[in-house]
Amino acid sequence: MLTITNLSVYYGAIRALDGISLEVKEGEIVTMIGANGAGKSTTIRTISGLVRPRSGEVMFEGKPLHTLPPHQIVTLGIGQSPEGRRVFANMTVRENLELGAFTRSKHKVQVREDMERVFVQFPRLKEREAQSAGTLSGGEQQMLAIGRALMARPRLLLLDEPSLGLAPFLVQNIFKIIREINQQGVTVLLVEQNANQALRIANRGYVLETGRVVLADTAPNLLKDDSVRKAYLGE
Amino acid sequence: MKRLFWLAIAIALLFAGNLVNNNLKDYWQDVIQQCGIAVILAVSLNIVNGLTGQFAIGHAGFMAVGAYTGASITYFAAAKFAHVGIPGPAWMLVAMVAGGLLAAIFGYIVGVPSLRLRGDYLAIVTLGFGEIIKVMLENTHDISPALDYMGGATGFQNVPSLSKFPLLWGMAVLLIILVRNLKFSSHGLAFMSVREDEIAADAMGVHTTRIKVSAFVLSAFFAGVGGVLYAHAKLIKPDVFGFTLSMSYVVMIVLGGTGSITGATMAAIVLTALPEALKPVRDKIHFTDEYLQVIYALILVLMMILRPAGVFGTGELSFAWLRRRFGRPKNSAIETGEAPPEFTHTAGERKPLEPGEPLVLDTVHLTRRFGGLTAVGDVNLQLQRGELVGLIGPNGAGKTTLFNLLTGVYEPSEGTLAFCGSPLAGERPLPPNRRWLRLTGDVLLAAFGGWIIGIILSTSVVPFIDPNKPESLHLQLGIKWAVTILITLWAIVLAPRRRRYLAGYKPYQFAQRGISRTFQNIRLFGELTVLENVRIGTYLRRRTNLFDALFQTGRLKREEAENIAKARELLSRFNLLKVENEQAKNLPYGDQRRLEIVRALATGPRLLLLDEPAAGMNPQEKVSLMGLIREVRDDFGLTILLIEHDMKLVMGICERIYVLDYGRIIAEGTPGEIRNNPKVIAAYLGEEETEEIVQPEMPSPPIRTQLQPE
Repeated sequence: MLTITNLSVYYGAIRALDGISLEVKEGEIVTMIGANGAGKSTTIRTISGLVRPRSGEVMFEGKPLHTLPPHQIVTLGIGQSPEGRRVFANMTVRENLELGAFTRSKHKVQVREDMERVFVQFPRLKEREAQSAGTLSGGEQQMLAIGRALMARPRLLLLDEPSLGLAPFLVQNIFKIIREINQQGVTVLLVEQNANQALRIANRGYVLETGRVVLADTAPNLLKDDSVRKAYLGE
Repeated sequence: MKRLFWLAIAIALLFAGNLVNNNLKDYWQDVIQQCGIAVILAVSLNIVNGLTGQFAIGHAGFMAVGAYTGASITYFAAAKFAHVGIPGPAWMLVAMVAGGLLAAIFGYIVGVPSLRLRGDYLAIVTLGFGEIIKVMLENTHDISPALDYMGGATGFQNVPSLSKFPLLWGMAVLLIILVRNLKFSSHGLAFMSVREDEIAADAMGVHTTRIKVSAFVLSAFFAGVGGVLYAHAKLIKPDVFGFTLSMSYVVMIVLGGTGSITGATMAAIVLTALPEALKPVRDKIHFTDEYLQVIYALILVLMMILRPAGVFGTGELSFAWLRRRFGRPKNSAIETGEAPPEFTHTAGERKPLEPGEPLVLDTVHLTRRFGGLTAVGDVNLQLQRGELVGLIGPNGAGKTTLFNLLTGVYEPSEGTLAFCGSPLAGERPLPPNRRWLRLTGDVLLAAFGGWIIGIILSTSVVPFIDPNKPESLHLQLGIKWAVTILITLWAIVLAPRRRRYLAGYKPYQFAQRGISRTFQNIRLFGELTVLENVRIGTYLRRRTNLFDALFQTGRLKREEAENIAKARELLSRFNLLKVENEQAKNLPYGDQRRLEIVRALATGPRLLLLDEPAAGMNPQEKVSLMGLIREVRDDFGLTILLIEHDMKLVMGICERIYVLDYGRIIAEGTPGEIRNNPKVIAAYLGEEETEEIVQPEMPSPPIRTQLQPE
């Protein structure tokens, strides 16, 4: 479904990605793990078109993404919950979610159904429906960012640190929700510092170090791998 | 020594330039003069618009104030003191100082009310100010016939031509050097911190309003000086100092790069000289000044699309840059500074607790409501010196709101907050001198307002009275003065009761007293480098003032060296020294979090509030962060309160934990007690919490803190 080959990205003179290649197949949950600055967020941002690669390509179902502007990439069926939330602070929770469904706002009934589903998954958002997003707490904004990404009914969902700033029981919840979403047919590319949990729900994983893929394997194998356990699972 | 050398070179260049200048045609001498004035105005405007990130568009107004003040001085001096034999240039100096000062005073009056607010108020107010000055100068006769010598709309005649090349360009160069000195000092960094993020600047102890007003006054002063020089170069007429002139300076700094001194200088020269240089060509093809306006507009639009930060952005064309670009680097040590110093325990003041020592933080019934919603309710928090305490709770429980109360971002709706024994939150009366100042101002304002209302009322009775009777005149006068006096009296009685006469502690005052914080959604100064971010933290403990920064005094240099050393020492401790020259926005998320901690530590706090310090870090990084937090607590004698969702981290390093839910503390105790508290499990931890809590192998702190009996 998504194929990345030899991707290199620079921020000014700093090299963030040094020729990484990875693949996400339809129906999978794939996770990227690695230290801070390894290039995980940059990869996500390159896929969604927020960052332009210096070389290499990103193909989605045979179409090149690295030449498209972000708003067209969204219409292809790629949704993103960005790192650092970035909710529309002066709009209400409901409006934020409606904007998430902006690309298919014609299908009113569907959009309403999807919104109800988001409210079931995050009851807290239902409580704050009419509140402006800027007044939500950090964790609530995180829920909203994920909910908003889901509203686009993406076929590929890019999640950058979805558990960031969430209380422990919500963290467990969020992973359950990701698995549910996946079972409904959404392919997921997941970046998580909580590598343990991420690998438990993922099919495959890539380990990134300083902008390169150093290890790629199935998730259970990575969970067993001694070097991974030591470096990223905190054992 | 080095400074003398450069001074000698500057003087030599000025005289050489003068020599060349004197042999040019008058026309070109005039162009060079205009360039010098444009440089002064553009560079001075850049202090406000570039460095401080505000948007002022009435620079020509301050220029006019300076121009007319200066011209008046030399005009009368030339007439009255001609026989005494005081040379013109001496009067020129007096004129420049006076013109600058008066412009600065106007800057203060315009700046204080509009700079308190965030947003575009400044643009509107300065725009209005520029127009008011213009209109006033056009109607000098109506203000007072004594001002007739200014010539009203026809212009100020017979001002001596005293803006000679060495003086004009000497001033321009001096201004560039002063602003450069400012920009690269930590005072200049404080200016830029306001531009980058006002809330974060406040939290770092930068008094943002004062900084903005200083920048504005400084900028007005130099605009006034530029105006004086203009007045002695060209005929000054009120309509010269209109909106078009103001905008032309804005265009210069936008093109050159807002925040770049060299950029503004070059843009000023190019935009002034280029149209003149092209004059022969333009004359041939009948390309008039009107077309030129179109070209400017086009260039500006293109710039905004292609390079919105201007040609130079905030960067500078410097010798160091030229070396990097075109030659071999001279010596990397010069650019990066010397090798990082060995870490020394700067604030290792961890004394044992004394009996009766006041709590570091003591809140009583602290409450904050937003409308009907109680975000934080009835919170009693007690921290003893040296404690490391956790604050946990579900999302939306009010943890960050509580931090905002503890740092002065919000004022409590109820309750008190004491820091090291002295109350910090809540309102207190203004200090007496400011109280009197404010009272005088309010009464004067009321008297003036009353007078105006009196005039309006007394004229509105005119249709109803017989103008020929003397009583009616008395009636009119009576109404006018009665209204004026009544309103003034009303103000005197009511003013002191108003809220204006009370002051709450502001975030920068919390920071000054020793409470520092990090932010949940990182608030670094993104465009500035890592090192600069930390230097802004050290700014709070400065002993120098703005003038030290402008003139690069010895004590400023010593202080900067100290601060940089301290900043680098802290950076090396958090393993960030290798990226000290990167822009903060380019760091990965976890590094940005650690940089925020470093920046907070640089303010020299006694209490450190960390809002989710480990978010975005992987388990290994979290473990090393835990060690660092403890170490820092011990070495700096800090008290730490931290919000964190990672239970391994919280339970691992905190000696005590508060649990917040729906704005209230539902539990307090040691990690062991909290972990098994059924209320906490229900509200926060969740039943499925199975992860074992690993107690990391950390040396226990040298002193065990004992909880005070409640």
